Amino acid sequence: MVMNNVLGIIYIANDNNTMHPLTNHRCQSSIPFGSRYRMIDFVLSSMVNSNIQNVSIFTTLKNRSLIDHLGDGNDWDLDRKQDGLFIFPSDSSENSRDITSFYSAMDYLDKSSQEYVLLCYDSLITNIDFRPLYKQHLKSGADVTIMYKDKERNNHLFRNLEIDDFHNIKNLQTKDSKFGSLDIMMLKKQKFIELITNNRHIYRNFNDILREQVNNPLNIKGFRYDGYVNKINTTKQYYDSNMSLLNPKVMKQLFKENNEIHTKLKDEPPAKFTSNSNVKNSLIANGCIIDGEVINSILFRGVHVKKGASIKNSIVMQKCIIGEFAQLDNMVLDKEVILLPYDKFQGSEQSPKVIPKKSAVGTYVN
Amino acid sequence: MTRKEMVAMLLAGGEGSRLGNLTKWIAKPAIPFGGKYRIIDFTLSNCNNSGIDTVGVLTQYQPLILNSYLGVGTPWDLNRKRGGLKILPPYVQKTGGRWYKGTANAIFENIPFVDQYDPEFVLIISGDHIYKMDYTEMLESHKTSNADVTISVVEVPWEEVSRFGIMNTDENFHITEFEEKPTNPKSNLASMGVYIFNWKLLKRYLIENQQNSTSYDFGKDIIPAMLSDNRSLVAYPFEGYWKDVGTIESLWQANLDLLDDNVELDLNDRYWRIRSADPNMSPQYIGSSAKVTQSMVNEGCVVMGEIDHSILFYDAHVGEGSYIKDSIIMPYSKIGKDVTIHRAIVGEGVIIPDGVTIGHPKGPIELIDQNSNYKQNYRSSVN
Repeated sequence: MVMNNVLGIIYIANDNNTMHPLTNHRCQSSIPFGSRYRMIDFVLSSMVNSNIQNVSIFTTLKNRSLIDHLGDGNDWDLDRKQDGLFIFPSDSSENSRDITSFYSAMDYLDKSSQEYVLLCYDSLITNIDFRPLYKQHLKSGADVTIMYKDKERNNHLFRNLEIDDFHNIKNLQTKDSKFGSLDIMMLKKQKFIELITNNRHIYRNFNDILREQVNNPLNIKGFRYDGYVNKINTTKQYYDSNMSLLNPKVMKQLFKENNEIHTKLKDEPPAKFTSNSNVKNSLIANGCIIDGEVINSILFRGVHVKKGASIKNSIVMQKCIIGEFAQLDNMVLDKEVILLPYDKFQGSEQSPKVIPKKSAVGTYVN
Repeated sequence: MTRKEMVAMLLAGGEGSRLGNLTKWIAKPAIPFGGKYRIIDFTLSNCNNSGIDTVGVLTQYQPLILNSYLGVGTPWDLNRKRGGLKILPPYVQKTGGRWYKGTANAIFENIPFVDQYDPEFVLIISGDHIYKMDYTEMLESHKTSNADVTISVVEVPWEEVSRFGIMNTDENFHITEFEEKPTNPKSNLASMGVYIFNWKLLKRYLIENQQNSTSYDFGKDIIPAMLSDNRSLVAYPFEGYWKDVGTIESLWQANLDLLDDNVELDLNDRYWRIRSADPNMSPQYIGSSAKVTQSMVNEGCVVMGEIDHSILFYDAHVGEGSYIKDSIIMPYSKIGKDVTIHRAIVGEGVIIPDGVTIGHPKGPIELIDQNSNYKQNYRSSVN
């Protein structure tokens, strides 16, 4: 399977305000996830592991953190002389459409040697091999192939698709369906260029164009994916998706031996546990120093848990300091938060609370 | 080539014969250390943190793993357009191939490499030691004292003096005598194997040594020759953690030193990072049945048992009901269920089946390596 004939595009959707304050300073794609990753690592690594060697990322305005994370693409093996990683930062206002962004990169699309485009949006946590999708797309001769998964009828997180028995997609936005679109699609680059060129003046997103043109003139097929996929649009979904990693079965599906999730590497020493530490059912990143209790939680790099502190059912991001005898339950701490000794914070499983980045607690009002 | 003020030459050919089977497949500088590193990471990180950007690494014994680990020096920011890290193995010439016959001979053979950069000074270091040191401060001291050579020394306990090369100095730290492994020591200042030479002078001594001697060693030949010529040799006292992990016991001890409450060698120091090639493992998982105390655990580990006062390298797995105390578990090792391990080093990729007992709470340090009767994980590098 010659996947170097496929160009990967990741479009980072605009902030929909449902994840504040995690998205106060960054786009959703660069929210830390799973102890040592950022959300974008999953789709990006899936592309790289599928042998796609030309990847472009279209970003929104809050892109500083994301661009810092991606660097020159070296950690994904995308620092190439030919092809590699291309970043197209948004230069327009917040409510721009994806087609406008794609059209502004016409030179890049045109000059790239690849014949096919794999288009993904940013909010998925998954580890997909895209090669079977490409294979089916070539074989079926469809104009567009969209990846979908089986879902509960009342789950509206994924776009509802109507699909016939021959994998033909009949409708891209039905009211109710047991098939959900992953918004991952493959099509010929020439067709992609044609669609964005013809529709660049219409106030529509790429998905809207497909919805209008399905059946006529576009022949759109579905490709079913049964692996692990998690879509994140809200803080609660973010919390649940992280916590699901504490299930070893989920871990196995996401972190496969030969399809690792790549991320920006840091030179943190191994995690250090003192004689007072009590850690159960948790993911711990390097650089952590644990002198207290950590239960059912996810700790990112360089977190210090001081003596007597207790962290339960919580997500604690990079370089937070949890003061002596402080207590956390059902909380999400953004990066570099400092909890003073004896501070106590409690959210609930239904609505975990978020403490914003760099808060020194005492100034933070619960 | 661009001129460099100082070029580092890192001796990494050591066999480490006292480390037994640990160095059967890998050179001593490539031995895993501290849960995540290899021994050579400390000197390479010292170079990087000291702003030295040209490092020749002299390899010889079992270079495969070391060479592939070093690559072009990217993990230590030594992948430079001008200078950077260069691996310098012995090579074949018209007159036949030859091994490096000693530390001085290794530098002699690479005079053209050093000359490319036309440096004023050359820093000679070894990839066998664990320490954090700013070589630029030593260079400043070398320049101020106008010495021909500056040798870094560290105070060692008097009872261990006979293991080291000892420098006897006057009150101004001018070296008056060098004694290799003395039985009646006059001083406890041991040479750390870190030298700064004026390159032109060193070159002269290397060529002379090559022509007139049958032994080609810095400690045995070059330094005594300079002393007898009344050259100015100055000792540079180093304060801090420094360890030569030459034996299984000292390797075990140096690892466990990292677990002390007041650790001398702080790996969490953000201003002197020890860098290493990172294999990008998934996060470590500490299970519901696990208990981890006074230990270091790296990425990729899955711990379901009890770990006390021990170090787990990346991708080490410990099954339910197992108990590991005072031990070092090297990368990719898989410890089954209900295993008990005391005072042991479990080598890279060793698979320990359920129910096994290894070592004794008061026994000698056990080395469980690839030659023991256990299976080997295919992912490890020493198959």
